[in-house]
Amino acid sequence: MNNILKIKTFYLFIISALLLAVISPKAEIDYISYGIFALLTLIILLISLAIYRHKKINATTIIKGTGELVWRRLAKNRTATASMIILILLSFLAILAPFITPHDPLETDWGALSQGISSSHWLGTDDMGRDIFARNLFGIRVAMGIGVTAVVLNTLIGTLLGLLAGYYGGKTDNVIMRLLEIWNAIPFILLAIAVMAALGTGIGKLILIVSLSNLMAFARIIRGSVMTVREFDYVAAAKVIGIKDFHIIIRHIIPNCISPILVLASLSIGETILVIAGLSFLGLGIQPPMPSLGGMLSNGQQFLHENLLMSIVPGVTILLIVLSFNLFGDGVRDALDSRLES
Amino acid sequence: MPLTVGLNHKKITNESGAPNNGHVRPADTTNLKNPLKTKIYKDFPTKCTDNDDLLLQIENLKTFFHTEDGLIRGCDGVSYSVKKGQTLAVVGESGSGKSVTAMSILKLIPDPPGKIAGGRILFKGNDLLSFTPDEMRKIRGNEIAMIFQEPMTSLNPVMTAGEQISESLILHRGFNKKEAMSNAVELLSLVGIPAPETRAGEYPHQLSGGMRQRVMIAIALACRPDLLIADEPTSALDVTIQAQILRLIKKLQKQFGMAVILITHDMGVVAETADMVAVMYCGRIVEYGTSHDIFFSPRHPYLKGLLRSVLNIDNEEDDLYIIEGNIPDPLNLPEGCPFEPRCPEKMDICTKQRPEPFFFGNVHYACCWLHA
Repeated sequence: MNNILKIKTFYLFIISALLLAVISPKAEIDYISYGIFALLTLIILLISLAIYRHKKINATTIIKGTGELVWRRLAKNRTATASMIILILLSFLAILAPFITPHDPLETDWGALSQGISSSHWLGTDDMGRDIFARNLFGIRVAMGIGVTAVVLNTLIGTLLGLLAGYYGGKTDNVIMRLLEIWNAIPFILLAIAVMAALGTGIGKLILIVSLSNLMAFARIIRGSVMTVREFDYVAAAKVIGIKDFHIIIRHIIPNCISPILVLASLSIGETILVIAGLSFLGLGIQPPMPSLGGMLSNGQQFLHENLLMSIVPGVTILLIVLSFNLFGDGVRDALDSRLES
Repeated sequence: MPLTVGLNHKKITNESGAPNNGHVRPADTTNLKNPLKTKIYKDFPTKCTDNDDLLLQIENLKTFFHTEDGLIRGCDGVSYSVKKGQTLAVVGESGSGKSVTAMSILKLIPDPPGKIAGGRILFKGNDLLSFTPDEMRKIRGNEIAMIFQEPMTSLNPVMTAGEQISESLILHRGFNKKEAMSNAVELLSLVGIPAPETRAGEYPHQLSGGMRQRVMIAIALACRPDLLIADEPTSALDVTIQAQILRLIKKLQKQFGMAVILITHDMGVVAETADMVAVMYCGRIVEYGTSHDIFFSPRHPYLKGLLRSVLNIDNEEDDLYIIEGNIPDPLNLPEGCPFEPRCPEKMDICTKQRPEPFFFGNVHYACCWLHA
């Protein structure tokens, strides 16, 4: 069985590489790129295969661990599965953007300004003759890249602060939470404008601002759940055995607080992407000529009469990304919630 | 379990025998009748003739909680001692300081608000209160272990039973994961879990309440401790399982020669297991003695009430005796005897002065003015 599967995946790999070589409109792509493309295609196929197989498993099969249980519940949830597939496709598009589109997102074609859908420009061109499809793909790339990085950073710092505040309580808790409250009292847009004015614009600064502005939500939620978990007898039991605080946090506290962290992280990716789009719309985020979904939307509103595609394409993309992340986050939450067990 | 009290009398005398437990009163207690003059309670009751046998000795332990509303004396001058292989039962209602005393031994009182304000805790002759946190961690789980009341919440839901047992083996014995796991399987079969190999790989939600308590015991016994503190180990279990768990603890106690401090509010459990009994009320020991003393010649009105309120199959009265009232507010304890407001035999002196221990024999004492 395993062998057959291996042979199958090997063929799939070859076929997708060949397919790509044939359909790829860009002649100068090297074979390494084909390889990467094919590998990623394969990963997607395997993941969908895994989901499919999980759905087929009999309900009476013994579940080995919590992770498997959660995964099965997630796979059973149609909305979550659908949003997961959309997210995988979007990240696929984002990662391989340069191999997929024949056009450079910055390349202007003054002979084809503000065009509609055509075979050379799949989603038309904007006011400067740039391919909207290409810009959109690169926009997704930037948005998801920054969004995910910011949320990862946010989660790490927020979780650390929340853990310290919740586990040690008392003075530590007071200091951390009061400082965060002060930090939270600064309006986000003002902070963004101030930082951009002082330090200049740039992706690094953007990530920093977005990730640090949302610390409160993470720290507060994680502090709350750590405080609950801290009181459980198994933490006391671990202390009675003589385990160090660090190991108690790593082995007993974090695994039992992981569900709010995961849910919050997956939900806030969508939010962060929206915030970045909003900042770009205001001209504070990603600076032109680098393509960004918010910037495209902002640009498109001036040409609503001439070319609706300029607004619709990035708008729908933002909607799709945010909606998928939110639905996925909801799915994760439901899957992790043991009370909803059927 | 309470039903067995009436039937267990024989057993107690048989098992603990003539209760010469090594406790001998200090030399200057000749005028027993007037203990106020001699102030004997300062040293009592932890003086022992043969110190080799003595495992744990608590002297005048005071654990206070500094809350926003005021000072709560969770444990106010408690003294007791436990010998090797012996079982001490600590009895009392909720909030009487049983668990606080036990947690003080392990120095796991949440600080703030709690603080050990005074006294000594001698374990194998060393004062635990002078130990550093690192030294304490080496004692915990290795030499003193503890099991909790709630088997449902005492196990980490995301770790398998085997992993949780191996944790302490890896920590204290320096085993690698594989050795620890095979040891864990052995321990599981020792505590009477069928198919230990499969059970070791299972998560707590796959185990029943009784099995979880067995796993807890296995965790506690992993490093063969000298002292096991069992904090109401059977309260959350149903009656048939209670008996099994108690029998298991007793069996393992004999096998390993470990001492047990059994914290409970169930007099039936006390009758079944204890050599020595300490009755606590409002953070103080109000009566202390062998289990024979406690069951056959109770002196303190609180203990008398407690024993009368136990279900007895021979008892033909329709109503069960109850001790009127509640424990006093720990923030404003009565100036005199804390039991005075509820005491059916109170006297004038009870409201004014705190009673000191009065002895009836070598070890048995009660803190009550009735016996002055």
